[in-house]
Amino acid sequence: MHRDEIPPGTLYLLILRTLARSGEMHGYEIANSIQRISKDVLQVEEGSLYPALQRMLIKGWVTAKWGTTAGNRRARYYQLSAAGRKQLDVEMSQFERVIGAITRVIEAV
Amino acid sequence: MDWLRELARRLRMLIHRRQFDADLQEEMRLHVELRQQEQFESGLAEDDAQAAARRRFGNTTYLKEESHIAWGWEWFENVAQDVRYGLRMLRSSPGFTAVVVLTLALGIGAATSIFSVVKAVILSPLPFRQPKNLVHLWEGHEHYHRGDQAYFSSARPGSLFDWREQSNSFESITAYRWRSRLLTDNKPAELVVAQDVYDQFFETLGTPPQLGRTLQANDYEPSAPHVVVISNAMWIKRFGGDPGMIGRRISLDRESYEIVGVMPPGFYPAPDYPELWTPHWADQAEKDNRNIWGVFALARLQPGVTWEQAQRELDVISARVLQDHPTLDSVGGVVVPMDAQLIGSSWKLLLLLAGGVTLLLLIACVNVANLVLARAVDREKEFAVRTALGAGRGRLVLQLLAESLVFAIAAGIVGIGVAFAGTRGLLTVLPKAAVLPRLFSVKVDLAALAFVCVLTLVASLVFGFVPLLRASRSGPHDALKVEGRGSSAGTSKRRLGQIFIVSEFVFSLVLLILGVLLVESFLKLRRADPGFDSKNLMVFRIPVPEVSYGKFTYGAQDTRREKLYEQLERLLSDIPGVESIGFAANLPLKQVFNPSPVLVTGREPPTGLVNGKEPPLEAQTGTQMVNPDYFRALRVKLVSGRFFEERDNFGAPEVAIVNEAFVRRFFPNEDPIGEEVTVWFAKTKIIGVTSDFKMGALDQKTLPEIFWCSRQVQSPNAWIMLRAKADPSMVAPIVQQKIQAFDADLPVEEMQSMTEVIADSLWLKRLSAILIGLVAMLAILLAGAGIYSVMCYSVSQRRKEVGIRIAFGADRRDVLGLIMGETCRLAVLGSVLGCAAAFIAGRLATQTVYLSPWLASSVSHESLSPVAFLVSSLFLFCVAIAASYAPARRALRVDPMVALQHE
Repeated sequence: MHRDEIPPGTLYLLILRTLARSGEMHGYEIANSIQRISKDVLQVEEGSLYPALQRMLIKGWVTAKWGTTAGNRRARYYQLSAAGRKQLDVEMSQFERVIGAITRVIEAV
Repeated sequence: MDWLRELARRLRMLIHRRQFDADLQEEMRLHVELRQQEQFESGLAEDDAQAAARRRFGNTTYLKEESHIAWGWEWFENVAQDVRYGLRMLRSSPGFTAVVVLTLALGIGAATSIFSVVKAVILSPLPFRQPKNLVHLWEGHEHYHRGDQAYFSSARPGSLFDWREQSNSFESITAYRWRSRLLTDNKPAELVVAQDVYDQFFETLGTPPQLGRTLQANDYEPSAPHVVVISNAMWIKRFGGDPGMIGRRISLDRESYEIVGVMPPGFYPAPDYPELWTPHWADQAEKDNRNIWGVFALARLQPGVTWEQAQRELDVISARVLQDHPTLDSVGGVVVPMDAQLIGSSWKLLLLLAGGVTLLLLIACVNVANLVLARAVDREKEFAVRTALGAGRGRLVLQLLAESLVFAIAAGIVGIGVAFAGTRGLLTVLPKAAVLPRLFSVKVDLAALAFVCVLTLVASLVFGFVPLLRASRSGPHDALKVEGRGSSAGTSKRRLGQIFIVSEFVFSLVLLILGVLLVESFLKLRRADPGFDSKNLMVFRIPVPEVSYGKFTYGAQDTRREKLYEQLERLLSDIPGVESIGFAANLPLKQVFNPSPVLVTGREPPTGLVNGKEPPLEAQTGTQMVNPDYFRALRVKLVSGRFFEERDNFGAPEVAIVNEAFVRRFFPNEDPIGEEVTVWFAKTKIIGVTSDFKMGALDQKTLPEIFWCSRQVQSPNAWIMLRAKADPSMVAPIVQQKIQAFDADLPVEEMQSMTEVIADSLWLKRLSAILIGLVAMLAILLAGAGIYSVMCYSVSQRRKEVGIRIAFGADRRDVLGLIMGETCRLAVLGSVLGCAAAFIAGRLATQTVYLSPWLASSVSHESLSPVAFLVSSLFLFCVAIAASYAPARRALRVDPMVALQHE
């Protein structure tokens, strides 16, 4: 099965959107969620999720706290903060602008 | 505000760095394990599941590093890592560490102590308001030039008022007179050093009192009640620092004075620190009488006026005064800036020392650079490996710098200790606060310390940077290859090390030669014959209180003093063990030359005397007043004629004795006995010639002196020279007792043996010799350490070469010669360059004003003895040989097989 690399710069958007939809998640769940919803098309290089999460922690877009998984393992759960919600809007509109532009370019005869 | 919160988060992460790492680790592990589980459940074999999970996750180490970088602390972590690594290196080679740290610490400590003293004595501002505008005014014709000895004649009160009335350069002009006053209160009587000050004294200096008030305008009125301002020292010493002293009364010369103020410590840092100040009222008679001298004038320049401009104005005023009073001789004013005046010329020694320790510091820095270089070359392979593994050049340089930083900080800490010890040591060997004013305020100066530390850091970085750059520039390929081939490596780097050695040689040789010259010239002085017998001779001073024996007037017969001196003479001669008693106004070696023009009867007067100007110094002589036994007490020889006798008293024809220098000057190839000369407006007949002996400093040639008999001419105070049959310290207490019993208010001061007087007269010279010698020895120690370490390194580099040579059957002695030969070549080169540098420095030194005359003459090229150069070079040579012998021997002891297999 062929999997596509996610377009550069959209990783934040994907994480933010995923968290916005589901509330609390740990890293593995986020990776799985992205993959599942994209119907296995979008493949995150799973490890790169973590540096990205760190950067988002610094920016204050997400907060993290430790909890336990269903399998009773310790895991760090990430949650969207108010700043993260605002950032999601910013990223969304940016993305839509870019996609819109690309679509227009492609559809132009 | 967002960035603030972000910074807070970053900081929190930095602090909980370890927790953070653990968290990340755990989080990632969980991820991989969960994925592995999923893969396993979907039917993969356990091993494959794990591999797939890892593959999907990516490079864990890289990701961790990425996460780290995200936090922005990687530079900090790098530095911390480098410092940790540096510390580990420090611990792993304690010998190397000790050499570097101690070397640097010595340099830092020595430089800090000297700079602290220099700063306190020379650089910190005087304790007055705008001290730059303060000047001293003297009388004299020679102008002051910056850097000169600033001693001229005291002024006439008349001139003081001329200057006040006619000049525009000054905001205010004031003056003081030195005066000793008998202080009596409930404690034993004490003769204190006091200043009688003219009005505006305190206003001119502008230092607020510590307690009470200073003198005011109405205190100077003749009818004003007696008031006195005392020094902090007297307040503490005599009155126990009691704040209630203001308003209390003390008795000065048996008159009651009210204490109105206490001046702060360090106020008026004159060589002779005055203990109290009383107001002086100048009446019209004093202003008109132009034969009185003895006032020391101070003035504050108008803002924007330089002392040179003020000097030009005084010249004009002097010329005008001379026109108005054609009978006056020697009218003139000399302006000397206050700082030059108060600091005197001992700062020149300090400046020399500062230069010396700067060289020392330089040697220390070169040493460090040397060692860093040696290490850098040693670690070339390590660097090559690091580079090959992808370390950037900047990262490598940073690592080496961090190591240097660790060294510098360690050395700085040890150096602080050295600085404290050194400053304390300096203060104990610099006991003469009288000569170095403000010495009491010397502390380890933090600014000086910081300055030296930064200087050291920068210097060692700069020195260390060249090798660092080279070390980091070499491509990994080359370095690995060179090491792999194991050739006698790094010739160019060894060249750099050799340049370091030679420069250390030059620096320390300059210091050593200077030190040897000073010690040599000091020893010569100590051996110098003063011209009199200083053994078993005790001296002391009796300042005669005016309150008991009346005001003294030069030239008039003073029967009370005459009687006092005769009585004392008799009293002291009666003490058993006393051979003879000499009385004089001045003590040999403590005399300030006080010239008077000489007029030989029947000859043309010297040119200057006729037209009212000061005659040239060659036409003048020093004058002394001595008792008949003076020459016997000093044991000087009679060359011709006779000494004084009791019949040469008041009323008898006035007679004089002259020294041989006088005869040479005024009666060359003639017999002076029976000739009549006029000195100081008094006509006397020469009756005897005495052999020359030193009245001034030991290193000055004897000047013409004329001696008058104290039975005919009295002096205000007396120095007494007591010639004992044996050790005079035995009779000292009896002398004190007898004088006390004779007159309880008569002070006996500065009692010491003549040998001590001689030693004292040389103290600054001895100190210069000792301190410069010490700095030179330190320099050699450091240079020796440097040579040793470089030789160690160089020998270890050539171990393989030595191994090959020995394996091929070379004689061990020849190999030793080969290695030592390198040192010898460097030492010869260093000696030649060092001698040349010292020679040039000596030539330059004599041309500057920054050396005291004695120092300048010690290093001037006439006195540059080849012995000093030879001895210094030889000594340094021996140090170099000794420093390289041990490493060379060590190389030879190595088994050739081991050496060849090494690396």
